[in-house]
Amino acid sequence: MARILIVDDSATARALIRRSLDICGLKDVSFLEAGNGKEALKILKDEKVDFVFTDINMPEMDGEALLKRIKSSPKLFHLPVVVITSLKNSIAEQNLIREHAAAVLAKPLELPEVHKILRDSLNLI
Amino acid sequence: MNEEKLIVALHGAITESTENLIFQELEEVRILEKEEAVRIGDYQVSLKIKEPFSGTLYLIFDHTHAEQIVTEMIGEVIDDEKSIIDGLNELCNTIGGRFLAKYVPDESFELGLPECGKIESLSELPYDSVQRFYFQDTQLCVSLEQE
Repeated sequence: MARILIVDDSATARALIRRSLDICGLKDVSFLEAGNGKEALKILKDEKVDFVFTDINMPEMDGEALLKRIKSSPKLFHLPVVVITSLKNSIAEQNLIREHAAAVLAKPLELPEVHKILRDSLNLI
Repeated sequence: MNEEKLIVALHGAITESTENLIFQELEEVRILEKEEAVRIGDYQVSLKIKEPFSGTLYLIFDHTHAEQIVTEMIGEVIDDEKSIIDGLNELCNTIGGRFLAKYVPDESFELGLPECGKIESLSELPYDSVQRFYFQDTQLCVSLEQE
């Protein structure tokens, strides 16, 4: 069973992400949740996680800082990080891909795009 | 600042976000004086725009429509204050991001974090008029103030 960590300061956004992944046919997964980058790093230290889906604009530690911390850690570098953000345009996407994000999705999530990422980039369905 | 481009980007962001999050199509937009559109006790979410210009995006909802919108977003009845505020903040964040992504598709932009409160005084509001967006079953008011 794959374990997915969803990082967003909004409980509503976390629920929307879970629902979108579910509708896209993701089976046999369990979800962990964090409200910002700091909380996410604590979970990553203590728990086995297979994928991270993170927002960018968050208090305490934002998603870009979290991505950098994950990708600079020899222990976590392999972890695919999907960024889900309302701040997506071509410049933001290029920067995040350069920082080794596995994919960048815009809010509000569009199901065909989510499905494509789950199938082609993450091999989850 | 290209005013027409700003309005097209903002309307596009609101239309797409509401279609996707609350499954409602835009029917009409009217410009109303604040005294006509806004009441004490309404929810107001403010979102600072830091780049490519300085300003604030305001979204205003009365209690009934706020509850209705967040319930549609989540897919279950939401009536507690904390969840309503969280849902409205997320909607504002999504609209704000989508708006700037449309306005400057090839430039960097930066937003603050959404802050939701209740309107306590009409005279202290930083705008004189709002745009009211009418959807099939709900509505919201918007004001964009540039500094």
